[in-house]
Amino acid sequence: MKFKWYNTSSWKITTSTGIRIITDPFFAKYVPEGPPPPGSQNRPGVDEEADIVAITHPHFDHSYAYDVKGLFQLYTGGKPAEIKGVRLSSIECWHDNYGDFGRGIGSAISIVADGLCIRHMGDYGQSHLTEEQLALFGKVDILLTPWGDWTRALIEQLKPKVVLPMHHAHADDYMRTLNLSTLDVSEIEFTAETLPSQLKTFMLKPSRPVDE
Amino acid sequence: MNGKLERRSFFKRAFAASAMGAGSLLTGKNALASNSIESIPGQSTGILPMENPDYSIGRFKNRITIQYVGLSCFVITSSKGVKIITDPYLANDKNVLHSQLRKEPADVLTVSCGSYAHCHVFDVGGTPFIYKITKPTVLHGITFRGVATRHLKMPEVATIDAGDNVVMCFEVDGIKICHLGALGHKLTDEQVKQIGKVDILMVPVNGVSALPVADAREVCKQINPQIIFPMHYCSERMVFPEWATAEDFLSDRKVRSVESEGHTKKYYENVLWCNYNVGSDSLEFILQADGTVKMTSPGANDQISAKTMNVIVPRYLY
Repeated sequence: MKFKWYNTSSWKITTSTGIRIITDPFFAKYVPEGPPPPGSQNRPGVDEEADIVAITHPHFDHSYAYDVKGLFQLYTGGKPAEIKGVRLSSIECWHDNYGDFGRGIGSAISIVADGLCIRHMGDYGQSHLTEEQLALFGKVDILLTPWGDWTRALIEQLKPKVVLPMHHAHADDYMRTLNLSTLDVSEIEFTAETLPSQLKTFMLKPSRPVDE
Repeated sequence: MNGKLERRSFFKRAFAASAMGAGSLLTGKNALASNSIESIPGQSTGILPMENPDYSIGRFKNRITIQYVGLSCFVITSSKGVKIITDPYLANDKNVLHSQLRKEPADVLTVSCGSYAHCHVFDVGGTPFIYKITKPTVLHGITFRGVATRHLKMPEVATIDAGDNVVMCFEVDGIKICHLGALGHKLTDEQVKQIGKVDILMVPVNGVSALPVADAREVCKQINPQIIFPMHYCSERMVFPEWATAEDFLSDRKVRSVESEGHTKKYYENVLWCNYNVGSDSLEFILQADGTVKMTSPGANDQISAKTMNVIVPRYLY
């Protein structure tokens, strides 16, 4: 199973059968706060073909499915679904610790294919997972997570085999304690057999960099 | 979250009951239907007849249903239950009020252009196919065709430069539907030919991010459909003061004045203006043997003639 990081929370996950899943395609022109940085209009969006587009929450930098090319099926959470042999489900999480009064819901999406359990955390920002949420997560092989103060508790709770940091993640002291390897490519491949037995972190290079 | 949903379904249920009552009072013809509620299967489970999918008394088997959510968003359901949603939009607290899809499960989602007023796909549930291309494609037994056009610069949610717009054409149970999306110009002869015959047309009436009203009327004449749904206009729910309103679009129509109860009521000819007293929030249509479309949902049927260029101003679904 191949992983390609575009930028922010946007990934292309290609299964062994060739099914392409794009997660959280971002709106390339939109800058949530403040004026757009010079040159940001020229930033490329997620302009590749997909079979499935999975969206965790409706914020601008996570939900612009229009840029994805071709004819695809959409999964935006709710009931678990199976599309072309890929099992998708969503777990309700929160963007911060303030629930409805904060930045709202930012659910995590679970993708099960090729015998690997992948959890995409969207814009998760809770200080820790509740017991109910933890039960829904179950076994986690590969964790795609935004990076922040909350990540330490999340990784300790979920115990994944592989961590792929995303969403403005930069290598920090905590990340270096997690068996970090910084790569100069934006693609990486895993199979159920070659999965590391101990926790390993791979910091990839975004293939759609932000112009600053 | 759950509390909100429960409250909403309660309102809808209460509203469904009152709408049925009002229908029978107004027309006097639906008395039979309201008397026969007790014999409807599913009643014992506490489901009201309008929410019961088994409820088919007095309804046509080959009916299609059209519901209006707001801006350019329609929910079109075929007789077999295939649900098509067009152009879902982003609601906000400032000028797009209250009307929003609530994870409505869909089978096909058509997106005409890349503005957040047309492609906010997160509000749609299920696992729909997103159709936003021009290549003819069969999805769930319905052929979708896209006709390439252009849209204007769109300032509404996030500014988008003028770009590509796709006019969506599809045929549901024999009724040819055409959704113009955010069309920004009059059609060329070639485009009119590609669109072909249309029974039901959804046309943007806007003037800022889509066609000016005069051009919208021109496009309607070019396509010559039987029924026109104006969309994307300014209203009490979609507060964009610089946009045109539905009245602006209808201002060239003949007006019939009726004296009733001491004041004058005005009716546009061949226009069905659905509000909370007239019409239903799900409008039903069937294709007749002579090729014309007939509206079969309760409401003012006589406004919709078999001739062309009838207008329906729909009611908001939520």
